[in-house]
Amino acid sequence: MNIQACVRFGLVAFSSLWVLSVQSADRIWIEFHSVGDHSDSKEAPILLRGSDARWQLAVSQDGTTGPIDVTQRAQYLAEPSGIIQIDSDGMVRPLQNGKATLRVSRDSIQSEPVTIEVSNMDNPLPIHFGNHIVPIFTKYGCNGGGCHGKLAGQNGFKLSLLGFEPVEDYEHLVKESRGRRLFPSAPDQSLLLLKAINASPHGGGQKIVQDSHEYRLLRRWIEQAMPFGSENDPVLASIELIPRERTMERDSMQQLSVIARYSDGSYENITRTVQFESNNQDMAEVTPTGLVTTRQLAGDVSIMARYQGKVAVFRSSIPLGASPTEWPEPKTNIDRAVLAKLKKLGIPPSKKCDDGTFLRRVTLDIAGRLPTVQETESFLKETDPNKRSRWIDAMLESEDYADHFANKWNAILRNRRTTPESQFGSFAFHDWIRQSFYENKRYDHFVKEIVTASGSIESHPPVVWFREVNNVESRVEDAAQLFLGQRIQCARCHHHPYEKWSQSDYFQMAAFFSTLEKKTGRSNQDPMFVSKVANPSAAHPKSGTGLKPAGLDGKTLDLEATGDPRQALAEWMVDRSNPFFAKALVNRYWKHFFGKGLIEPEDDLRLTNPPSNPELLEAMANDFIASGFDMKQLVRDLCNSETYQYSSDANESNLSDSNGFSRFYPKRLQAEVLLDSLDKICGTQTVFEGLPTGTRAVALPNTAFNSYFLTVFGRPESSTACECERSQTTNLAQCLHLLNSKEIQSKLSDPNGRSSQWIVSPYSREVHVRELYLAAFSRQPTPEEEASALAYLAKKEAKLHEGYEDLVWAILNSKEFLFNH
Amino acid sequence: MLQKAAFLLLIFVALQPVRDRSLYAQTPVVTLATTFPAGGKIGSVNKVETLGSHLDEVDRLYFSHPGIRAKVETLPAVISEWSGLPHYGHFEVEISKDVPTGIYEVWAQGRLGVSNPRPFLVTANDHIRASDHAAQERSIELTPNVWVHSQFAAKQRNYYRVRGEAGATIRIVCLAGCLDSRAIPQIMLRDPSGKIVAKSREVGRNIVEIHHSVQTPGEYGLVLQEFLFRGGPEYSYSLVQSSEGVPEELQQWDGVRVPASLGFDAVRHSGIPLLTHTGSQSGQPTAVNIPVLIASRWDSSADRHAFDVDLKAGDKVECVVYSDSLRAETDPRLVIEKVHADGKTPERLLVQDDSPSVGGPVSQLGSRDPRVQFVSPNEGRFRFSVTNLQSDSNAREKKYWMSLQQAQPTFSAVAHFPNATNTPALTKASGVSLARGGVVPIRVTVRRENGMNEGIEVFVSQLPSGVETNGLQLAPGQSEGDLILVASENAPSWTGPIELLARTTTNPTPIPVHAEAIAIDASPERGEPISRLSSSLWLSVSNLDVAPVAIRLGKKERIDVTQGDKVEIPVKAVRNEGGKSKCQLRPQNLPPKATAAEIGLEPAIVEANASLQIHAETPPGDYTFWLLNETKVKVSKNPQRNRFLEARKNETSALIASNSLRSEDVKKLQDYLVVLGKEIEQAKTEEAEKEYTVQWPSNSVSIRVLKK
Repeated sequence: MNIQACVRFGLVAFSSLWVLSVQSADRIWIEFHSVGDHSDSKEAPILLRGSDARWQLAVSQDGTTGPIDVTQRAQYLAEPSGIIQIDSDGMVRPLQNGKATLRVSRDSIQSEPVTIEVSNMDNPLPIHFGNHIVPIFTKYGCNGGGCHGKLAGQNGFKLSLLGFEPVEDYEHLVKESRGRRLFPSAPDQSLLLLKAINASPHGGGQKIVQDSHEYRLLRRWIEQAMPFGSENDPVLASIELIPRERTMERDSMQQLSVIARYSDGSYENITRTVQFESNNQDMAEVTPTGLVTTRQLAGDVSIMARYQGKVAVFRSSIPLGASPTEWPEPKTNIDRAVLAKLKKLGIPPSKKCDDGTFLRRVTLDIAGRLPTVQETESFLKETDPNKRSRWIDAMLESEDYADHFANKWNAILRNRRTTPESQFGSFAFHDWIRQSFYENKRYDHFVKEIVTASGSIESHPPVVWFREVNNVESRVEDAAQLFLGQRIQCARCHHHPYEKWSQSDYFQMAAFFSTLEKKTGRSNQDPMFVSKVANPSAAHPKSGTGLKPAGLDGKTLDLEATGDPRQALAEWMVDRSNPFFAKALVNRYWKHFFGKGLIEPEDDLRLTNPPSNPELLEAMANDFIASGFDMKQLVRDLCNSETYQYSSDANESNLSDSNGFSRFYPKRLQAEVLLDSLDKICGTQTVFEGLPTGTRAVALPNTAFNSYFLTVFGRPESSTACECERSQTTNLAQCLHLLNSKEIQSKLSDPNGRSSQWIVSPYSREVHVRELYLAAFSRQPTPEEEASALAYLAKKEAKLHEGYEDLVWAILNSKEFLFNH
Repeated sequence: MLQKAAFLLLIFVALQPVRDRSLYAQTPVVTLATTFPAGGKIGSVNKVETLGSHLDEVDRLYFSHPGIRAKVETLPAVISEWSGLPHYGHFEVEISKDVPTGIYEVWAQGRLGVSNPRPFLVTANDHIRASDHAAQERSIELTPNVWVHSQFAAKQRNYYRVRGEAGATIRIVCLAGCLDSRAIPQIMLRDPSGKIVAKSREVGRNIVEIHHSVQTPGEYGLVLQEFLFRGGPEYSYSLVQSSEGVPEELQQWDGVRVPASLGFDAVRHSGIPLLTHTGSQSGQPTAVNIPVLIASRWDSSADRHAFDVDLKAGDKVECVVYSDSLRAETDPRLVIEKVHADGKTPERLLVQDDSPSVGGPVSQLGSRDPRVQFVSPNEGRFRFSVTNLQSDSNAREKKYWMSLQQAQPTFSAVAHFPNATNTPALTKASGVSLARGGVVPIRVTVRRENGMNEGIEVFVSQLPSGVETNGLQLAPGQSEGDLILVASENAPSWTGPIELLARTTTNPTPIPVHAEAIAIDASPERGEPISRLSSSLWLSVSNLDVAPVAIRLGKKERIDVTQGDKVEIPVKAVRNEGGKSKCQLRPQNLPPKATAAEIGLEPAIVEANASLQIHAETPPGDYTFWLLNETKVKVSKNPQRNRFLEARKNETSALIASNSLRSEDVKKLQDYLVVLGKEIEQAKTEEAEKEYTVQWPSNSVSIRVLKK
């Protein structure tokens, strides 16, 4: 092992890492990593080498419900003095060579001693450009996409995005502009430093403070004649966060400490050079120094630490603290995982919703429609304790289920009709998707048939996917996002900033599609796609090296030239051991039914975007695999859970719960479902050009059918694989359209509509009012509601038709109608 | 069975996209969309109606089987003294008992020529028409083995119902594309609870079939929809609840009965040993000797079958795969590799997916099936592998045949009347009518195989009186050209099939040129037209019409010219009523490297010279040359119709005025006068003279280029 590799910026290198907590009853202790042979000793593995070395301590103490962080509140005592300096925030800095014993105390409790050794104070260590200098640019945003990291650079100075190309950065920094950016003979006059401290005008303003740690490091690097380091130098292998997990109280703090581990086994504390980010700033914030502060909201929050393409996550549970006397009995695996988390957070769930609410909720979610009045009346009367399960099964067997889920998948599979000629393919693909759901095709088969689709659209409609997703890059990105929940788009041009995916990973995936070619089919709009005879390969955009196919984190494959490499891709994707495939789907479906994914966005599964309930996601994915990728079974599992059947009404404790699923989160009806529901309430039919009268919006074969209503309520354009194309937000245009548009008015006053039918109906107004409530809300009106409605109708006696129209209008403008709750 | 099937197998014409090229605009001509019903029972007489456009005075139907005959219906006479007028477009069709089950062709003859052919289904079972069934409550009950003929209306579904007995199988067969219908039918069968238990959509104009083993006895609902919800007479279909599945004759269908196949030439394969290969041998090569005809099927889309053949250096092997042309939903790919004795990876020598496309928008002779001539580079073992590249959602049979035999130079040819538009997207089926003094081009396309590169002469075996042609000479390497028929100015009326033959310069024995027809028009939703082979090419000569303008080129049949020389060919414009506009004449089918300038003939000018410059490098040989005339003509569609109606009106009025009739007859004639008045008004509108921009060819001349 070479010396430079061993010595990492004034720290000690050892052979391995593991967490050591020196603990006792009523204890206080320093969280740190110990290594190798020192693990059993009390000798601390903290060695600060050189004047630039530093170590962020994280100090814990036993609290009432578990360890709490006291880093900012502890007293630090180092003996002998003069060897190290400890700041009040737990940052240890070297002062002179020697050994010191550190003790931490608080409330008269003292920690076990920890030895810290300082060396090389008079013998500066060589600096490595990639490991030490580039991270400074990243930490301070110099190489960000908005600054010098963008493709063209900024004001003549270019850095690689987020520092993933240190060699290029070195070229730009050291050799460009005739070397005027750096002056080894007068480092302080280097343009790099003058700009960084804003002594020379800098568009980005002051980034670092003169004589700060980073300033000194940069200065010393310049002074050392800007070494790049050698090819044999160790490279970053991983980073680790200390602690990894903790239950925190609301309005509390936690100091994080981050260790970088290198390929030779050495490590250093990089807390101050790491980028931190909270996945929910309403719950917790984190400072650039790694200090986490929780807020008033209870729930789970994650803090990501990113450093040179590596990621580590700190997970924190913030309990509400409520302590109900009774918890419901879990009914399913889903309930067990959800309740386990809720118990941990101290958030009691809401009660089970009533039958009418359940019926409406589950019918909308599975079948994309409102239950009919007859269905509601029958369901409410039924006394069978299994009636909810039976209704779920009935809905899953219906064509409405196939329509609704075909509509969902049609959009993200980009099944568009852009020209008249593309109509056949679009219709055929939609029909194939719909049929797949109707017959409950296994999900792995569904995906394989799309990814490996070959030949003509007429014989195999999933070929349309290749027509619409019409280049290798889009195919790679869509396949990864749709079926694996991996957004690898960034890695096309540079290393993924928030994930581990490199350009090599991206183009190895691309190699699976490299042999696919388009050939003439029945028409230009119905082309054929086949795999040509060729060795599958994709060139790395920078090195030009031909890369063989490999799945993400998968083995590199040697495939025959005469085969279709997509077969291998599909096999890898749907393999039971694939870590992404099942999770991506169950999370997508969780979001469909619960309004919010365990991971948000639902197709962005990554280390830096952890699930709100990892155990639940894991359990559901395992169940889904065990079921044989049975999509109907997945829906059954979801809808039969108590969790799905919780009321949306908050109890005294869970109003602020936003990701524990302690209650049902109301969601606005999606555009197509809302239009169909509105027609149902009004007794009308929206006519779509070229389709039979009575075709529901949710059954439209593509998104090319003109409808202002659908557009304004957020129907997706099917131009990307992202579900985010569908807008579920509410806005003024929607309100105005519902309140006073011609479209709604004409539906209300339609001569064949509900209001007109009531005028000639032999039944009483009471019957009509009840019918309306059953149709719209799947419940009877309350006595107050009924009385109010009847009073209004009596007032409009002279213009009863108008009265009925007004009543319907009021109902369909209510939140209870517009939302699934 | 295979041999039988081989002989039953009919011609396959590949479907390829339209290429932009010069096509002809044409004046109105009869177009048959379908007959309704499009079929009948053997040994029966049926009422049949023609549907289409420009069906003026259609009073004759011709069938491709002499045992099928039609007689136009007669309208009831207005008064007993008069004879009834023909009920144009309405026929009694008699199918004699000796007509075998099958799909035949029918042509309609009317005032505006003879139509394009349409299929006509003949079976041993009854045929009925169905209409007014676009709602569940108006569903029609199917009687087993009775053929139902119907049409789709736009944005509607058609509803039927069938009885399902426990343990029985419900089989439904639907024909649409194979009857030249534009409809893409989708069939859905619902069990008594409403659950969809079977569903199928037409693919590749094949027969649509569903079958369902009845578990729940009761009434089953059958829903048919045109997949894109289009409708009209062009969207017809024929449906049967079959007790025995699809009759074999229909399974082997390729449009009409024709004597040979461009897809699989049974004659060329007669006597070749047959090898039945099973899919279970997939992956392991099978050693074969040539010649051999291999019959096999793929199990899945990625299936690869390999056959090893020992060849000597220079051996020429013709390898043809038949699968797409057998109407299997496949896309075969052929890979030929040299197998090394030392076990090294075989060396890839040749890959072919689709056979090369030859021909224009209608007459395209390529297919998804590979067809290669392989010349062995050295002695050794060679591996011929075939893979199916087509995924299939419906798991249909993926059969194929592969023939390996000594390669012999050969060719095949097809011909059709080119469509009347230069916009491929508007290419559609239509009939033909040759006016006196007019011209009709016939486009001939040849597929040369196994290195055949000779000149090909195309000629007509027998032409009707008053019609002439100078034939067509296709130069070596040329694959397409137009044979032009010219009618004299006193040509008599005639309708019938014409026969084209082709031969090479070294082999005087002619081969037949197969007729083609557009089966399905180009459309915005589906793109290119689809063609098929037809049993014969029908021509109609009209003695009622005179071509408004005709260009006559040359004065003798053949012009000899030496390489590098120039020749002046006289051009004359024959102008009649409606043909007084400027004619822009564009040289066509020039010999290689020869040049000729366009000629503009102003209305007052009738004569000019076409100056043809033969290049010194133009290969010696025979060529056919002609001019394409782009001009504007004014045409009245059917001026005789209005004259007839006016005469009828005058006759009726005179009869009423004569006071010689009974009062009830006077009343009938007065009513008839009202009807006549309306018809006259309608005829005035419809028959008004209209201006068309047309591209009509001149006659052709033969050019013999002599070596300098």
